Amino acid sequence: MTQDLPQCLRPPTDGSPWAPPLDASDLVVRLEVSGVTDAVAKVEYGFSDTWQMAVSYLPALQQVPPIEKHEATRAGLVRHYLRGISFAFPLLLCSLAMVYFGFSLWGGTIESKLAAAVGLGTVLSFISTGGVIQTMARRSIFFAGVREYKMSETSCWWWTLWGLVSLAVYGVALLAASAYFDLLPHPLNLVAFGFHTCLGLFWLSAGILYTLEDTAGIVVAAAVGIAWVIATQEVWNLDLALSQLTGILLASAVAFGISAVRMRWRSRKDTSRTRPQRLALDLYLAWPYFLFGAIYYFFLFVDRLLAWTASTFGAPLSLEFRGPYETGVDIALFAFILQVGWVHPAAARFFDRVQVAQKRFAATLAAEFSRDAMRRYHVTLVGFLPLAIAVSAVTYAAAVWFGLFENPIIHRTMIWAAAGYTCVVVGLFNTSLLFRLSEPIGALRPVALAAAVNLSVGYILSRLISYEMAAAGFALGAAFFAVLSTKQVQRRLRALDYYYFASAS
Amino acid sequence: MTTDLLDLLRVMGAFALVFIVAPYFARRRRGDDPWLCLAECLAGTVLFAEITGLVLGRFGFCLFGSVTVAYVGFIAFLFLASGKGRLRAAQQWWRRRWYRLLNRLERGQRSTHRPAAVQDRRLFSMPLRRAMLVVVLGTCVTAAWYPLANVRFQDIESYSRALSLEILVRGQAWEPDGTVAFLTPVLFVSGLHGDTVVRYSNVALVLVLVLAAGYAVSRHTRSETAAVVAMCMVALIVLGERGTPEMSSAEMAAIFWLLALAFLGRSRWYCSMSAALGLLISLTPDVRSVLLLSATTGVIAVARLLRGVTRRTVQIPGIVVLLLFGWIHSRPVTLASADGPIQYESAARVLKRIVSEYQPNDWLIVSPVHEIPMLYGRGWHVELMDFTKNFTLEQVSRPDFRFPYAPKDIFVFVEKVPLQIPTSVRGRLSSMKELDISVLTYQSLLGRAAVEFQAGRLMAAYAASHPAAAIFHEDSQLLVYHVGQQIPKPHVLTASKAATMQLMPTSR
Repeated sequence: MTQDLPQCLRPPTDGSPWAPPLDASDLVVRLEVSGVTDAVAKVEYGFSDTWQMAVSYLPALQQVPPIEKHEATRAGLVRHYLRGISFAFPLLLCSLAMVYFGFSLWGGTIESKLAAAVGLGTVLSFISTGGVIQTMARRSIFFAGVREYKMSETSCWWWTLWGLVSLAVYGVALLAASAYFDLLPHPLNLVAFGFHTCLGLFWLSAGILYTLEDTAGIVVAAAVGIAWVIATQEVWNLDLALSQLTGILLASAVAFGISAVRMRWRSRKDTSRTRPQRLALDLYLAWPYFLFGAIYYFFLFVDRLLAWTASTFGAPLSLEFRGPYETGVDIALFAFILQVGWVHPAAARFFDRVQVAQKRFAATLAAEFSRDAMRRYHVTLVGFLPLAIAVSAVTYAAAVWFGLFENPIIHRTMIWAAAGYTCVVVGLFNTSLLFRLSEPIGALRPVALAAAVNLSVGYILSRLISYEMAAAGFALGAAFFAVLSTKQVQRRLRALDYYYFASAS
Repeated sequence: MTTDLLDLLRVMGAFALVFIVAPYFARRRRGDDPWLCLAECLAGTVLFAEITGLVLGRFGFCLFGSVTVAYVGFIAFLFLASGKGRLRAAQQWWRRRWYRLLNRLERGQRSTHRPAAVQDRRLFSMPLRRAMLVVVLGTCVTAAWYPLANVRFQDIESYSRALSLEILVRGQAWEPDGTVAFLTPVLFVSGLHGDTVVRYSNVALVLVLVLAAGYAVSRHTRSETAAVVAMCMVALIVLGERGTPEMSSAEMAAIFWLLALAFLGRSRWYCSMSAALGLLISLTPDVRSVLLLSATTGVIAVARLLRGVTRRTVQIPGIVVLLLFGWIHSRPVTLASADGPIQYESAARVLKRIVSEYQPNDWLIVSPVHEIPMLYGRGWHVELMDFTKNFTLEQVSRPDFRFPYAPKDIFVFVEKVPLQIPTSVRGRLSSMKELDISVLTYQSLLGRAAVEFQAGRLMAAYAASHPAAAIFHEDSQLLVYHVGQQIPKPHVLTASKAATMQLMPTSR
């Protein structure tokens, strides 16, 4: 028997937020959550039950000052922001290579038919791997969170295998549809298939590295791939498509290698038993994440497919790569990258505050706790507006400065796409909150509806007015995503005490 | 031949899936008469596709996405309208399936629970007389014979329909045509060009016509023998004389008049719908369509009169008609070997070869107007008459001369023996209102010969001074020159392209 203060009642030593217990009930909950049952209280601490133990410790603990040090300090905010935009680092490398050499890991100055095939393969690679990567990340992070690193590693490779299956299924479907509907003639169908498969592999490998939060690894892999493409082009003068395909494969191999080493290193001290993977269990637990991943990428790229297939009468292919549209979207994408970095720090800061607030409010003040969270949520959203306006304005001014708007199609596309991407950022912020509250269905419905709006409105406008109006469909879909996901978040925040407890955030 | 057979299967399969299978399984309820349900599904879905095609086509919006959404919406509507908590049942069905899938993934076992039979057994256990089956198969083989053996059409209206369908699905300015509007879902599902869809959908339509006649008779007489007799007579009327399944718009409308006859007294709603569909397809009947309706109603009347007579007595006229039917069906083989009347078979085959060998819209054809329906949307076309007017012998003989066309591959079709259009076809052409001057020129032998002769001289002179010109195809009737040239700019095809849209008259 010991009279020591149980570990669970002591303020944390790692600086994470802590507040003194509000009453005996709060203390009983803290004890029971930490495994101190009536029996433990009796045997180890000498109390008749946890209630008596709580009443005994309450006066002393209420004297301990709270720890309100936020996780998201200024330095933390910058770190989170950089982490938020880290997905774009390989893109940045590719852009630099494009500026200096005229080609990159993918893309470059290529014939329009080839560009259409490469574009189709690229878009499809995102859609075919999006769901798998989301599920893989969810499961792997879950195991890492409970310090089962071996299981985390096994889960990663297991889902990578299913990613390969997904790539094969989509690839065969692409070839079959291409043959049946005469979409891409031979050998362009093989080019699309090749880019779909190779890029899909690269996204899978990069997905593992994102799970490990190893941005440097992704940059290294992309750099190796780009270096290979440059070498094969400048030294051996290989065919560009072949050189890029091999470059992407090499980058994927490097990324997989780094992932393997990192995961093995991380799990070297893990002595826990690894259990066999169960697809049924993973699907049962993570199917909303899987669907979200697939639908989200479909939502992001369907406007391009609509623009490429509009008004193709008289064109050699029923799919025509539209350079001006792509340029307009790419300019807006630049603004998006700078804006999306806000999601990570904003979400971290929001939950940081919620965590502190939760410890301040008594169980009887649940409504006030929810109101407080709602107010913080609205403040966070409003706080995004200046950043969004500033980044969009700077991007627009820079594009004007560089004379990128000479073609009115680029200008119109950029305006719509920029508006859409701003809404996507809001949607992603909401998604981040909903995922953290373990409410993926709340994120799935808005993104599915947004994809449907994007598809239908973009289709009608691109066919009846002009192909660049597909971007207007995207903007409207993104607005739906933002508004509906905001409503979903607000619904949860109104009863945050329940959702917060249920999610164990 | 293998490709042709595959195309036939694609079109027939798409037709069956779009108009029969999908709506039937969406709409059927336990206890429904399966044949009645099939007939109602066919009439309802074709009417929906017809109206959708006409409305969307009016706005140049009859495209893959819009038609697909409309059709899927319609099938969903049928599914929901079949009522009685089907949606809830469907949700449960999906949940059950999801659970079973998880179970199988988890344990690697098959579920012992068997799903409820999805097929209505009554449909398949219904006694089908051998004679009925023979008539259906015979009609199918006979109707498919000509389109499988030939690329060209026999009827000017088929060319017009093929062009109209292509214009419709490519979102161009389209003159409403009830004979093609309902075929848009079939075209999209089959993934084939308009001319192929028109060619092989005729086979499906003939089959539907024959079955509709049989169904109408059996509904009103309850006599399978009478139904077989009616089917034979209808097949005889529609295929016997011509040997090709190419039907006029009035004959197509007759399918739905026959269905209206079948629904008469049973379902007022579907009877009106079928009649309306018949009117949308064609407002004016022709001789053969009147004959089809008269024959069917005649069989119904006779069968009702002879209701008291013994079965053997009733079957005698049926057998006679069957024999007659079999004899007349040897005609298509003869017809298939003949050429013309509107286009040489070799011209149609060369065009098919070009379509399969060259990339879309990278080539141009100089020929009479009748090639347009087969190349529309896949390549460029310049009218042979314009070609002969625009260039002189002196011009084309110069070694530095280049044709001012953007595509790198140019094919010039020259008839060694000008095709003589028969008087009967010429009469039909003359009755059409929107005739182009070029069509008028080609229908007279003299006019056609003059144009072909001039084209032959031009190409001979050009070939003599340009080694790049080669003969792509030659037979006793036709000579096709291939000119390969590199002229990246300027693009001068706009006018020719616009002209192609006006060349073929579209008729109702």
